Amino acid sequence: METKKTKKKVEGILKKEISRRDFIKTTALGAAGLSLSSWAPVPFTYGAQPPIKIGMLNEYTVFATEYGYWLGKVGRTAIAKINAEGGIAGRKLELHEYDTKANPAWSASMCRKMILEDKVDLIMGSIHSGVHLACFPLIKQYKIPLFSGGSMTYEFTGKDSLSLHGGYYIRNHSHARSQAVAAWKFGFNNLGKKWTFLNADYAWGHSLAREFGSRVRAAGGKTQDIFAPPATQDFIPFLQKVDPDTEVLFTAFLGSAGLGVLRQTVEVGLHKRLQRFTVICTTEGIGQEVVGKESIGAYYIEYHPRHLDQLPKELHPYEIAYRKACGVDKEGKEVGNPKVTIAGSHMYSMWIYPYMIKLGIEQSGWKDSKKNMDLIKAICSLKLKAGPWCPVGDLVMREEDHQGFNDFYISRVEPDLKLKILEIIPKEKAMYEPETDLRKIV
Amino acid sequence: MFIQKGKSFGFILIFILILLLLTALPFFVDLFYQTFLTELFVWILFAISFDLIFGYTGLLSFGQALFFGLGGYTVTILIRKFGLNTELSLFLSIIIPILFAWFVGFFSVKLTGIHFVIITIIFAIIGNIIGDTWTSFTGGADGLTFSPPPFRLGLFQIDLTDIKGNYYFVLAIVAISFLFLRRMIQSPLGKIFISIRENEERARLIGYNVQRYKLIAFIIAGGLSGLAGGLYSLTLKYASAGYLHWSVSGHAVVYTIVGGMGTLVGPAIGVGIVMSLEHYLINFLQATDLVVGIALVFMVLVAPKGLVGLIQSIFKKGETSA
Repeated sequence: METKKTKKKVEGILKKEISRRDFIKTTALGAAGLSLSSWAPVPFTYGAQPPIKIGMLNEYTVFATEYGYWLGKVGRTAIAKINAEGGIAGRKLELHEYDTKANPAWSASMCRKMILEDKVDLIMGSIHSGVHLACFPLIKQYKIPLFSGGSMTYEFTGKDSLSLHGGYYIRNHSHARSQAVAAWKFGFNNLGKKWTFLNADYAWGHSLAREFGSRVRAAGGKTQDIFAPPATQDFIPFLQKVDPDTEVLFTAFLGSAGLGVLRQTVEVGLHKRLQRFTVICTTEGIGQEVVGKESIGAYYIEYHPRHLDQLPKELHPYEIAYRKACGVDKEGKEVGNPKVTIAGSHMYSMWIYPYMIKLGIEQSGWKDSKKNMDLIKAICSLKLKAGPWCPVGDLVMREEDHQGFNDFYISRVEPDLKLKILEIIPKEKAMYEPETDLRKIV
Repeated sequence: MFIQKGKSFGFILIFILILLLLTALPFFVDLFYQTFLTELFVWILFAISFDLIFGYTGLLSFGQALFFGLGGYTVTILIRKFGLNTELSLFLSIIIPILFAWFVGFFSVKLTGIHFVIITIIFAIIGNIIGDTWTSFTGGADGLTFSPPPFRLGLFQIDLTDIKGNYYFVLAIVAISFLFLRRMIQSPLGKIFISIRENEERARLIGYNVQRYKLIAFIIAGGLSGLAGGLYSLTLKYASAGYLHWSVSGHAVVYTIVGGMGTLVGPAIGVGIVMSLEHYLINFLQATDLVVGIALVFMVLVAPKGLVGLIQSIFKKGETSA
């Protein structure tokens, strides 16, 4: 009966003649209503609890932007996914994001803004060690956990951890020491016993030379250190200094200098008489086709392979899902923008952190900053199994120094410019004795 | 004479009012704005010290970053590595940059125009390279952190890790420095600086040793830049080779051009405008430098003498038409 009535009503409306003025008025009102509704705050349906505020700092301008772009994109995607899956303990994650401008002092100001003005609960991101160091006094004072995006300074989880950041720093990725512990032996046994380090003349370059060099020398090898300004373009004067009996040339530069050093080793013919060995950091976010055919034959230490087919088969389902969510194809290029290459060995940290935070909050019953240390302890005792949130395979966090470990990969640039994995180094072989014990912090 | 006295009285009154306002402010604004203002005061000190040589003496120096960085490192290294107290470290953050400014100035003030600009940039670059590469001492680009002991002055003790304590501490030092610079500019020495800026040749013909006075201005500005660097390090509890980069001097140039050179108030206003603009914009976009750059171009085209110069010219026009 009611259905018939409704039908009649609809027919009446349809039969009614609509004037042009009525049409325009109705359409305009409808459009205005729709526009206004899009501005209205959309209530989060998980409940009335306040959001968990996450601060994110990355290098979006000035320097290392190829990292910043990907760390930011992956971090945003992971947070959106957590929210889509119901948030954490019924609370939405709210992101507050700032550019470091690769400037530690500016970053400290942004860190302070996030803590004191935005009132963030946690901070994550940045590959710049200086940025983290500048933020340490703040995170220590306000007891805010800082999750490293990709800082490679091993000292941050070393013996001075407590005085540096009071235990509020967490790192789920590799650094200069774990890279050396994992990979020096491959180079020593397979590439040669006489090494020359041609590295950028700042903390990172020195750190790599020190960590790898000490192990090579301890095993009876010989090393030579050459340091060049980080933005060097002409490497010929430095390559001329390479000892004639050098068997392994280890280089560490970022950006265009990283490409330049590989190219110029070929120009002077060094590649014929020695092996070139480097960390993937030197070419992250840069396609091997940009580095050029001069990189063929060079050996890289990767922390997560760039090409999907180079990953162990059992990780493929997780990796495919992770890449799909972040808009990455199987060759490590951005979907729809094949000129952009991923920072694959670094950006995974930002994918895993939100999940680690979720587990940590669920395990510790964290509600606000009063229980931050409990949250950190819960996070740093996690033993993650390979899965959709951990596509890098099993990842172990160490409670003593808040340092994470996962597998390493040794790859070589093939004639088709693909990074082919030669050896997988299990995380256990990257572990070293912790130099501190942060478990004592109450 | 009467007008001069009236002007001085007006300044003292306004200065005291502003100081009272700034003293009361921490009771009304949250911790973030207290730290923001503390940082703003530090940059005001750096900008007015730059104005002494640029606005009053006519020397465009991009080497001020060297003294700023030296001041920052003096405080950081002396406290961190040598365990010195904050009072002595801060005092030496003036003295050490003064010595370096004397050395740099000795070579630089002999040159004029673009040559002076270039040589000051070169000194700043040398400082930055040393800072970047002498990592065992400076921490390089990563920098060094430290925890400052309380500042003791007689019976008083200020905890610089406390945001409010640090706010008042920096405010007091910047206010004293401002008064010191104002007094100096009004003194015969300041008049000589201005005469050099206006007509170097004429100043020389009158009998002034122009190079000597330029060097004095350079040394004083260097010392105050060092103090600003020292205060900045104490505020952030951190120093890095980035402080020594010549582009840090660019901050002072921007602040001075926006606010108005040759007026101590101008650079202070410039710092306020630019930093507030950046702080506001950062909530909406990452490329704040781009907007600041556009604002700078706009100011140069519309008000080449800065905001204070623009206001002064409007008042002068009003007086003429009346």
